[in-house]
Amino acid sequence: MSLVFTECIDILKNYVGDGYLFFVYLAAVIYLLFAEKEKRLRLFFIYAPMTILLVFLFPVTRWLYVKVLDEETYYRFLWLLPLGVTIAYSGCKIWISLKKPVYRYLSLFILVIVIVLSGKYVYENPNITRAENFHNLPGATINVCDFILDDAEFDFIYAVFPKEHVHFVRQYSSEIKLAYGRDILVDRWGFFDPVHDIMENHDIIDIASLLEITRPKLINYLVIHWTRATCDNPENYGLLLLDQVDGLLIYRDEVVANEIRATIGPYYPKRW
Amino acid sequence: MLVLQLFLQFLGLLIWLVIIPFLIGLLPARFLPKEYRTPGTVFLAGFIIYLAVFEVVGVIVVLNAVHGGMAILLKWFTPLAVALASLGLGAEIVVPAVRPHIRTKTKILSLEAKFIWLLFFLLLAFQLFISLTHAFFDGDDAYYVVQSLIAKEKGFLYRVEPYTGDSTVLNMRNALAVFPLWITMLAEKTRIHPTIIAHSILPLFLLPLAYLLFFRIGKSLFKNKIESLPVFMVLMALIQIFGNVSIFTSETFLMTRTWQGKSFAVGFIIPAFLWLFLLISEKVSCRAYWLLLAALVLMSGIASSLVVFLVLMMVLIFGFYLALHYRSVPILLKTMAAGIPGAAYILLYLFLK
Repeated sequence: MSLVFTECIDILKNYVGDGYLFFVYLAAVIYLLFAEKEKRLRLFFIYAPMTILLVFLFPVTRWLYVKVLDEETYYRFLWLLPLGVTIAYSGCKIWISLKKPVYRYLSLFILVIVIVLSGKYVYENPNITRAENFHNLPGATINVCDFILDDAEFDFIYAVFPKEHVHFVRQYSSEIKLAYGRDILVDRWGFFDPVHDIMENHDIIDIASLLEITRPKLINYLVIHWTRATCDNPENYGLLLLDQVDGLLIYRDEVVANEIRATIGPYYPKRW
Repeated sequence: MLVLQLFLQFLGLLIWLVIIPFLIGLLPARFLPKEYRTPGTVFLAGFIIYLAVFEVVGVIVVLNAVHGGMAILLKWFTPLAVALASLGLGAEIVVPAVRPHIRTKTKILSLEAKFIWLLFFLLLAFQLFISLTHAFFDGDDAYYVVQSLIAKEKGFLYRVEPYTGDSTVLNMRNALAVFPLWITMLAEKTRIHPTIIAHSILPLFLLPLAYLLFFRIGKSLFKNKIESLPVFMVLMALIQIFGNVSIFTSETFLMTRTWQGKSFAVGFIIPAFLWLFLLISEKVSCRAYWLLLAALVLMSGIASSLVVFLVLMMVLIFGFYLALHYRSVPILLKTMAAGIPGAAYILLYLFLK
């Protein structure tokens, strides 16, 4: 049980992160413990949230949570603490207690500084970039998807994309099936996919090995970044280079395309 | 032609995001205390019921329809939502209960209050501007946004593996949380790509919605000291912007993945609980508050199965303290009754899992 308790503490530490906002919250709770006289607000700001915090730290809760739900999302318990409302309310309580406008502006300024310095700016994040379009997807992914959707003869598109585009392809069109998806890219999930292995884990892409896997699955499009080296010219293996779009080489596997035409293609008429 | 198309899309969004929830809200609003029959409260109450109905219809359809699920969902939900909205409007026309209490006179604000309100609106405008002009990469979109898109393009509800497009069995962990399908419904009604709805349009609606709730919470907290309200809103806006102390905080979720169900939980469901709790603690005898709480518990499943657990936990802990505060067993019983939809959801989840 002590091990589970340590886990809870670690989860709390990870949640608190590298800022001091959580400590500002605790300070606000302590302030309200003395300053708030209205009973219903005391239970709203102090008793109920602190009970939630204790329940979170209680090892049996964690044990039950993992049994019924999962291991990874326990930190979401801490969403139940009204951190923002408590800090803002305490700040207002201090602000309203001051009568002179100068002191009021000064206190507001100090409150702003406390929040700014104890927190971390949300938009300072490498995952936030200028949007290229209203889909908020990379323009290159959209252009390649449009090209393939236009080129396809049937409602049967099965493609291999470089890993940089895997997250986005099916957010643009679910008509395109992928040989491997986002789950393969998350290391901690520990999944393995042979197509991903050939495409991403070697300096040179072995086209012959790749086609050995993709052809039985009827994968008809292969998209490869132009900077990637292949052990031989892909066109020698029956791949037809359709175009280069935004630095991505789009190949159609003619062997698979012919097989689809002759077999299942007519059952999958193009709908777009 | 393009202008007409854009106008119709905007109209569709207005109808399904604002007008229908507002008209539905006219039904419970007539049972609220007179001072609370404000447009904001009517809308929030209506939005809770609107999504609770969507959750119930959505779960029934997801569990039963193997093919063409989205069409069936729309076939059932659309007339139901329109009927509820018409009922709300009709009731208001026949026996006006909300209109007479909407104050048309606005209080004259002090210069100080005007300045601080201006500061708040600048912070909100900044957040909306960034959400519209920037792309926020999140790996989970490859799951949730794609579920919306599959429902739109293929009609399948949670029966296709979103990462690759392969067929799969119903994923019970997510099948009871139909927020992605609500996005699909908006896409169907407006003919806008679901990914555009999720990434570019919903933040412009959900962020102000979160602040509307913060505003109502502030109103309940500062009953006699209303001049504190703009300061409260400024601090709340700043905490959202600077709350990114780790990737796990509710503020980070709300600001960087606003369109996902779990972010809807931190931006709407949990603040809505806090708001309703403040209202209940003020007037425990108001049945409409308790019914709204039960509807909120019911709709919390739309975000994720986990959120139902969390909301139930909140209801029980806050309700226990409230019952203790008033030394009242009926309050404890009402709390438990409000939690029944959540308990039923959890039982269903455990049964199907």
